[in-house]
Amino acid sequence: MDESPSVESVPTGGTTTTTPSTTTIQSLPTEVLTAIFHHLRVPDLASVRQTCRHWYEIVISNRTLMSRFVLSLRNFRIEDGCEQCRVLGGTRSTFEKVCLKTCTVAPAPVLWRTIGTQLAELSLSDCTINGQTLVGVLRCTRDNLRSLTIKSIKLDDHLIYDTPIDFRLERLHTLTIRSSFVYDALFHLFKRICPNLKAIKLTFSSYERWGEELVSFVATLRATLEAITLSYTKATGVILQQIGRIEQLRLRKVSLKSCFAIKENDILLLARLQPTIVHLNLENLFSASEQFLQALSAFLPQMKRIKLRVARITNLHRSFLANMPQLNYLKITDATQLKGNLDLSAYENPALEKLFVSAAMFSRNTLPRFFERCPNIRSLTLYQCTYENIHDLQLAFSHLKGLEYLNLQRTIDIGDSFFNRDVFDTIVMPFERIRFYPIANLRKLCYLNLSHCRDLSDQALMALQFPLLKKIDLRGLHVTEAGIASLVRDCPHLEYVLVDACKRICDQAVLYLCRDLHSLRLLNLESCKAITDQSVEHIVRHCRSLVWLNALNCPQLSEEGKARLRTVRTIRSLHV
Amino acid sequence: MPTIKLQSSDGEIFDTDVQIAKCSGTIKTMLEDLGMDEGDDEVVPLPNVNSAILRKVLQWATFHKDDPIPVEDDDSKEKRTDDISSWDADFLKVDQGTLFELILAANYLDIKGLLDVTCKTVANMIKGKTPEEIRKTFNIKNDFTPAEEEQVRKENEWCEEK
Repeated sequence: MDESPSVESVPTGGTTTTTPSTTTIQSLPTEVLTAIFHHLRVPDLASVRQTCRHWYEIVISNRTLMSRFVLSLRNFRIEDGCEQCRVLGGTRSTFEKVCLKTCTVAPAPVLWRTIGTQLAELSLSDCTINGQTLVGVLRCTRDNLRSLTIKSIKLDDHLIYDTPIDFRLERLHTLTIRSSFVYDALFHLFKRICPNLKAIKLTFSSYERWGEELVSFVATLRATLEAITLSYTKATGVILQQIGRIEQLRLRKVSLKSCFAIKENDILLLARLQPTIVHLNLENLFSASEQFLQALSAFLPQMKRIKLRVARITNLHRSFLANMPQLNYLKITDATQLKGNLDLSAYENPALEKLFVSAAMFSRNTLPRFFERCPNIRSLTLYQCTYENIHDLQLAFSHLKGLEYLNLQRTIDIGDSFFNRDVFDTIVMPFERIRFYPIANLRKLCYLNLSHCRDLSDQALMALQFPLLKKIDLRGLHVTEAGIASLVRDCPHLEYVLVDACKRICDQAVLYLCRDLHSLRLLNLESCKAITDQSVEHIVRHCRSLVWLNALNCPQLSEEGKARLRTVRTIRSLHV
Repeated sequence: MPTIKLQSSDGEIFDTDVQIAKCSGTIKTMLEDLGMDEGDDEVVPLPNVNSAILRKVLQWATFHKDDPIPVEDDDSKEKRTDDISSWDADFLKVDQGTLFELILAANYLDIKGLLDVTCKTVANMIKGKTPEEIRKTFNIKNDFTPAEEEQVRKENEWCEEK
């Protein structure tokens, strides 16, 4: 089965005869070896640099190759003299990205002085650290740090005010804080050390009072700040208004997903104060009304990307889309409350590349006309939508030949015949002027999500032929080994396969996935209750690049089987 | 059809279609720089390529003479290695020594397509192997001291893909 040309022990092929050659791989010049290594991913690059000194030097002295490595320390206590300090204190590798997860971080100046200077991205996740140590760590990264991420940090705030600051992170452009309570003291610290931020991302977090310290932080960044995210925070109209009024601030991207306190008028005021906004995320806020959309689109005609929930709209196009000719990404969620059906057919926009619509009902004949006028869509999600005529969707695909990403999750209207050209071609087309290409002709498709399309079975998988497909989500489908066998044959480059909650997936199907997909990186087998330790054998035996595996809720797996999975060298994330 | 004469390191002369010879950047530049005309009977010496390898290179170039010019890739991404055509895969079923000589020749002659496909072939031989398996495959000596190897092994253990 293995078609990759194996060179070992194969005699000289073709018509040529060669005298036995003594040239070895070590006679190749460095630039050629570098070109070879560029074809490899981190697990293989790691092996390569562990092979011999020469190769080690090649890998560590090449920035592009080293930038693929992330130094990831989990569940350690980082302090002077610990193993990580001893090993990394003497390292010659330069890591651009470092991630600490669930670590207790105590002062370790040797470590941070060694790895800090070249560091471009630092992420501290679920770490316990005191303010003074944090300042010490950041001080070591002052030369190159571009992006700092802090997630559920446990900080002792009192020490920060007292810590002398004699440095600034001049190159830091993105600060991300997630799942944390941000004391005023922390904003105060960042105000002093981050002079040039372009983006602040504060999510699932909170802050003192209504956020005056955050506003004051934003004010010091007025010359550079372009993007602010306050998703899942308690942000109110007051903070938006205060930020909006900061003179010389020119925001381009604002994300306010699930900030329930924010009302339509708050957004309109922000749009009036910050007319430079081109990305706006209003997901899960309120159901936008017709008047709101009209006003918003009048304030922000340059809009490129918008995500929102709509309701009580009779004509989405007239009230809103017609005013936004440059829209590149449109996400409309929860369109169930739309009066009548969703009709986008009047909207003509060659700039539109991404479309997400959830829970909409599409009227007969509207979809093909819409896609004819927006033919450059590369990413299409129609989540839990219903169709008066499902053939409209098939027809629509005749216009989207550049489609790379397709998500039809929970579409109950599609059945196996949707993918089967033979069945479909016999139907008399209502649109004779349109040349018809069914879904199987989307040659550029990389991602396909058909999860919970409950009427799909093996027949649908057998009709799929996407040579570039990398990721497929088949969650909850009634597919068996027959469908999987056909899938791995026709989509051999799949890297991510999700077959969780597919009750009929058995050991044989797992064998096909593991044996025939040479680049398999992610496999989700959660609640595939039919699989046994046989599947473990297949995974251990065949998977060479598997990084992520979920086999939770598989009652037939024995403890020994699970233990065996833990020994697979390449797996970084294992859920059993 | 205009031809030129290419001379391998061991003295063999290859009468070659100019268009095919010009898929080599090196030969193309040489012809242009030296102002060699197609009618000339001059011989282009290729001192770094022996006849067996040159024959294979020309065989490859003949098959690929109508290929479009490859575009420059972005170096920051990991490149694909699974798109080797079946003709190339068959063509490259050779012993390791020949494969590496082909790489050296492609590099010297500046034939991007051939260099690319041969590099991919070697990358495929590395993929999925442990350091020890790589050493065995390519007959590489482990010249790390135990301490050095331990250092790299530890570092690797803490490394992930971005």
